[in-house]
Amino acid sequence: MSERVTVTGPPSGSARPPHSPAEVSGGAGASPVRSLMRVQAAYAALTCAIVALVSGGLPLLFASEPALSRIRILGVRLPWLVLSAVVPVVWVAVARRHVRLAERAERDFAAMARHE
Amino acid sequence: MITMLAMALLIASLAAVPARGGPARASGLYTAAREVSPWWNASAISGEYVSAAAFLGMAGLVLAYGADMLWLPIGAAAGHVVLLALVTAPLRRSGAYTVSDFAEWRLGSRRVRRAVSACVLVIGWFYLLPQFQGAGVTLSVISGLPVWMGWLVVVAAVVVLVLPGGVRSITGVQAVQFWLKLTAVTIPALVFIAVWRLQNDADAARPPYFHRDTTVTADTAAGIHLTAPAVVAVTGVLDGRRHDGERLRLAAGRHQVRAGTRMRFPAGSPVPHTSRIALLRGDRWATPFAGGREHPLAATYSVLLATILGTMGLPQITVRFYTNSCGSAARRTAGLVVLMLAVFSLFPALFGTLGRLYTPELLMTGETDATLLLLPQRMLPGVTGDLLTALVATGAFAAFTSTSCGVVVAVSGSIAQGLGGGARGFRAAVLVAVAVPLLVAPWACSPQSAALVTVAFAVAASSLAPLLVLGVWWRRLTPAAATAGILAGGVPATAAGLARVLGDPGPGSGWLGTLVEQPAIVTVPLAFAVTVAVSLLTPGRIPDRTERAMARMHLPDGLGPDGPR
Repeated sequence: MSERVTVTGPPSGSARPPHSPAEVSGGAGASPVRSLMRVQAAYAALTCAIVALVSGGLPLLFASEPALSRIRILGVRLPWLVLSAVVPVVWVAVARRHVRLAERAERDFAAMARHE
Repeated sequence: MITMLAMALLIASLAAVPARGGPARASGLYTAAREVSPWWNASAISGEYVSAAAFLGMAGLVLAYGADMLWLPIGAAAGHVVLLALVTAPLRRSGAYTVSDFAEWRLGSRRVRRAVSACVLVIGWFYLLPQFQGAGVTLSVISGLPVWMGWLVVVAAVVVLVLPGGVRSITGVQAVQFWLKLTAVTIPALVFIAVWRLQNDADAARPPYFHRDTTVTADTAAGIHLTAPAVVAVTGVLDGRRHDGERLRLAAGRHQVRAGTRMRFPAGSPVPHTSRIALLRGDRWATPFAGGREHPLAATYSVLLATILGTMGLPQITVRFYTNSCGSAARRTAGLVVLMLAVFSLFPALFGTLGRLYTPELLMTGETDATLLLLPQRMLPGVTGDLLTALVATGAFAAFTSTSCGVVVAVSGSIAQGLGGGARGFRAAVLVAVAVPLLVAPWACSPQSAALVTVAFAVAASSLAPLLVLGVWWRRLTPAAATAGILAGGVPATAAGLARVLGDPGPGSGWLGTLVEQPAIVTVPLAFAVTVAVSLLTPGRIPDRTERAMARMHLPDGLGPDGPR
């Protein structure tokens, strides 16, 4: 009844046993890695862009508008307040957001790999 | 009393110093180390990072140079955001312990490994030097002992703790140290704010002047600059003449003080400045880019670039993430580190401002690293001040020693292979790592440890950052390109750093001076450009392992090919 066939290549399609994505990642089937990397690279680029924008923009802003330095909030000069209290909060928010996004991308990938 | 305090401080800090192990028998250390939760590991990393530079030095820099120095803590915290986004999880999944291991694993080249290890060694030297200096200043302020005693104590502690090798990494102790340091900073801060509000006689917008009668002793011969005439009681040699406590009327202008001279300034007289620190009136001190430096905007961008990209290249930071169980734990750890460092970035501004009001004589002695140590006694004379000083000094000394241990272990782990490998290679590496900064310390001209730390950041950003970023994200990186990039960025950055450290009276003026002081704005783009260009020119030499390495670094934990477990 059953027919013997010679298997010459790696198993493919639904005939294969439940596999680990490690197989997917090797050799010819590297595209899942690439797509995950693209997503992660986009998140990383966005995070770095925010960091670059803030740390690149603020010096320019304070250098071109010295009047900002004369503004006082609760007796503290604006640049001092921004640099020692506001920017660190921005960093924390950016870092938290990045961790969340990167972990979600990996969860989605793992779920997809299991479903396949 | 003060000597007793110093002794208690030394014992306490040495007892608190973690026994951090060298990977002399690497496998044992690794398996033992990989059970640390993100929260504890983040505390340990932050504890190590908030070291000499942040803990004492940055407050001193703000005291001397004002608003322009606030970018340094910003860049330090941002560096961890970038580290988190670009490097942490993939580096952890690669299974590499040091950057050298990463380079060899990713590119399969011993030559790249050697270049990376040389860089790590140089960065470690530049990073250790300010730790030694900070320890020296701390000890001399607390106990009056000569500065070099502090260096020797730290070196001795490092050698004793690290040299036996095989000591297990005790992350818990380091983590506890972070909370100790946070306490050591927070309690004084709260007390200071309260006292400041109560006294409220201080005004940062005036040129620095003594708020009360102050006696200053010159530790070394120094040129000082006086903006207005002052009546001063002098004991010792001033302008080549000996005095025995009589009151002199000093004219405005330059004066030469011999080591050991004591000067008593009455309240209200202007603070003389050491020739190393430019005098800034209150308004210019408080306004960004008004400090009279040349090319302040370029210098600021250079500092930011160095700290933001240099963080990932600091050997002791990357090694730390190895103790996380997996890539995503490492990533969460990095996120927590950002949070913890953000808490700390409030303090340099506060302590620097208070220092300008209460310890302005540091502008004359140039020992601005002592700001945080002197503040408690100035603001709260008596037992409370002494106790706060002890708290701060203990935290600081623990920071210098544990940071030095961390750097030495990481550096030695990187270079041990080139020195014969095994426990012997590791011990030789430890000695190489501590001997050079110890020999250089007497010749280093800048007493401001935080300023010296930026040199280490600049070298790291110009050499290891391109390797790490491109190695993690770019398939076309070739071994030749990695080596070329490391040399193109690392050599000029190191040269500038040496000129900065050894140059007296400091780098020249103009663009060259600015670049010698802060080279990153040129050397970092150069290193990246060379790495990319050489990679594109040597397309045939992309390592065969690249695809597999990429999969291992970027696939979620447990899914990658031959993952770390």
